[in-house]
Amino acid sequence: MSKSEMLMNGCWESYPFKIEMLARKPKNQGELRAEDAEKLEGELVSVEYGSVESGEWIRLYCIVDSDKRVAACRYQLFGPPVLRAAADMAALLCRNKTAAEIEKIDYRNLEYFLRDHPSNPALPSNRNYIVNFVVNALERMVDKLEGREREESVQVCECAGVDLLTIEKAIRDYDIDSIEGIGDYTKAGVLCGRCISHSSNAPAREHYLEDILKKVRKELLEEGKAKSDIPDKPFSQMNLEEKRAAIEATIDEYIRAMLVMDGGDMEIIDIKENGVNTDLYIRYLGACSGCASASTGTLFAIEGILKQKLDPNLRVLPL
Amino acid sequence: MERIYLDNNRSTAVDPQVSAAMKPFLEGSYGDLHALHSDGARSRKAYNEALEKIYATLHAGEKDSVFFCSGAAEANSTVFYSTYINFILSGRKNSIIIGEREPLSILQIAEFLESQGVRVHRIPINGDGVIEHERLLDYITPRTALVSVSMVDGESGAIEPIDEIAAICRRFEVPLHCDATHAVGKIALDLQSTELDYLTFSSETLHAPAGTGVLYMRKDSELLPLVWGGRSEAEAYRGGPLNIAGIAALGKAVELAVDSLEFEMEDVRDMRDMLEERLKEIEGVHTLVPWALRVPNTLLVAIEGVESEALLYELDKEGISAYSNTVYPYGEWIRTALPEAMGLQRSLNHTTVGFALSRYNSEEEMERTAEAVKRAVEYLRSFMPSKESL
Repeated sequence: MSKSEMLMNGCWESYPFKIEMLARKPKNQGELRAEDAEKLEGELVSVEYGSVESGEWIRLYCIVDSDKRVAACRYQLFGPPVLRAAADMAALLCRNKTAAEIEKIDYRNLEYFLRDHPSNPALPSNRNYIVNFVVNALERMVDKLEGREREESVQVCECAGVDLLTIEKAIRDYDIDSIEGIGDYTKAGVLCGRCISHSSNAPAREHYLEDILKKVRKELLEEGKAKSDIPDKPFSQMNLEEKRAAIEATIDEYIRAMLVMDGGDMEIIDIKENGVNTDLYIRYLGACSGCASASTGTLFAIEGILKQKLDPNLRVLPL
Repeated sequence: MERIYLDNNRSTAVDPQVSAAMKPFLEGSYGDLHALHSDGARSRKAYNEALEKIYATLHAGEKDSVFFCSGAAEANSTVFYSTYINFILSGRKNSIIIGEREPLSILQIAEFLESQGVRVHRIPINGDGVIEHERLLDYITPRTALVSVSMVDGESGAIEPIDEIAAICRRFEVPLHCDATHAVGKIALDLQSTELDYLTFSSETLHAPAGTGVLYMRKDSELLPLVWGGRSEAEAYRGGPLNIAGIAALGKAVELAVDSLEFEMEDVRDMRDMLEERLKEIEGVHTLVPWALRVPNTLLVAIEGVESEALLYELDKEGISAYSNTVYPYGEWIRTALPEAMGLQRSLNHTTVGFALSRYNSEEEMERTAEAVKRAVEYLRSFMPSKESL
C-alpha cells in the first residue's frame, strides 16, 4: 500500500468543494411533466436506471425542442450525496445539447467537471462507480433520444444490480485489470461477493467477474490496445511517432473534456521538430473554430497543459 | 449549536472521572510494570486496582484469568488464532461456528481461516434480528473447536440468547467465546450464571479512550498468545509493555459503567424510547429489532425512500452524529445489509440509520434529533417520485 492509500482521504470532508456545493444546493432536481413539455413546445423523454434495492436509482427527464436540443433536464434519485452532485452536474451539462453531443459526455468529462483542481481526482477510487452510474444513465437517455434499442443483458451482480454489458464496457473503457477495479467502477462484487468467483459452498452461477475480466482482457490484448504504446522515456528523446502518441494521450486526458463541454474539439494536423522545439499544428473543430478565445485563452491553456505535462519546448500553432 | 453525538456504539466521549484516573500516568508516573523502583510500584498499584475492578464487574471466578490488550479486535484474534493452532492444526477439532453478524475482527479472521481449510459455519439471524440459537444444533458436534457469538449486536443492539447458546455448548463440551463490547454497561453481566470460556471487550464504548481491551478466560481453557514477549503472568498472553494509563482508564470506566447501569437501563432507555416514538410518527419508518430484545441505548431504523448516507449527510449538517453500517465502503460495513438478513423487503437494504445513546445525551437532544430527522426525510423524499407515481 502506498502513502496515498494509507491517508484517510476517502470521506466527505475531503471531497471537492464543487461536489459539496452541488450536494448541498442542487439546482436541477425534480420532475418534468407533460405540462412543462407543452410550455417549452418540446417532447418529454424520461429514462430510469439502477434500483432502490441496490442503493442507487435515478430517473432522468429531458424536454427536447424542435431543433432536437435538450431544452430542460431534471432528475429524481435515491442515493448518496455524491450521486446527487454528479447527477446535478450531468443535468446541467445536458442542457442545450443534442443527443449526439450528450453522447460525448463520458466518464472523463463528467469526473473532470466535478474536480476543484484539474489535476486532483474528484472522488476516491472506490467511489468511481457513482460517476459511472450517471454516465450509464446518460447513455440510456441518448439511446432513447436516438430511438435505439438497447441490447438485452443478463444480470451478473444482483446486489448492486449490474449486468454483463455494463461490466464488459467498464473493463474496456477504464482499462480495468482487477476485481477491485470492477468494484470501484461498477460496484459489482463488492456486496455479497458471490459473483466474484466460483466457490464450493454457493450455488453455481452463469457468470463470474473473474471469468468476465479474463475474457475481456484477452480480447483487449488481441486488439492490441490493452495499454497505450507510449514509451517510458523523456519527451525530448522520443521520435515523431512516439511524440504524437504522447501528445494525443495528454490531449485526451487533460484537454479534450474541456473543449467538448463547450461544443468544440480539436485535431492534430502535424508535428514538426524545429531545433530544440517541437511545433504542434492543430485545427479547432466545432464551436472552437471561430471562437475569439481560440487564439488567446484556450490556446494558452492547451499550450500550458502540454508544456507542463510533456515538454517546456513545445509550441502549439493553430491553423 | 452543540453537536449531538449518537454514535456511542462505536466510540464514546471520555468520562471526566476516567480521564482523571488516567492523567497521573500520562503526566507524572511512567514506571514500567516490572521495574524495581517506586515508579514501577505506582504502575503495579494501578494495574492491580483495574484488574480487581474487572474481576468484580464480570463476576469472574478467582481461578479465571483476565488479560489486557489493545482492544476487542486483538482479543478476538488471539482467541481465534489460538483455537486454530491449538485445536484445528493439531487435528483435535475441525470446525468453527460464528454468528452471521459478528464484528469485523471475527468475520475477517473466520474468512481467513476458511481460506486455510477450516470449516466455518455461520448461524443466521431470524426476523427479529437475533441469532436463531436452535440452528446451532445443525452445525455443532463434539469436533467443533469454537463457537463465537457476540453478546450484543453493535449495529442493531439485538441481545443474543447467550444463555441458551452456552447451554448447548456445555452439552457438546465446545468452548464458547463472546465479544461483549456492546454488552458491558448496557446489560447485566454475570459470568457465574453465564458459563463462557472466553469473553472479550474494548474500552472505546465505555467512555474511555480507545486502545485498551480485555480478554477473560475461564479456568482450564487453553490459549496461545498472539503477541509474544510477556515477562510475567500479567503479560503471559499479550507481550510488550502494558498501557498503564489505558488500563487505569478502563478500570475506572468499567466501575462507572456498573454504577450507571441502572441509569442506563431506565433513563437512557426512556430517552431512546422517546426518540423511537417520535421517529415512528414519520411515515415509512421501521424499527429493526423488537423493543424487548434490544439494549437500552440503541435504535436502528430503516426509512423507506431515504438512503442511509444521504440521511447521515443531512443530519451531520444539523450537528447530529448518527451511524449506518450500510454505506459502502465506509465504517463497519458488513457485506449483507441487516434488512436483507432479517428477511425484510430488499428496498430497505440501503436505508438503515442507527442512533446509539449514552448517559451524556438529554431529552432535549432527542427532541432536536427527531425534528432534524423529520426535516431531512422530507427533504430527501422530495428527490423521489411520490409513492403513487412509482
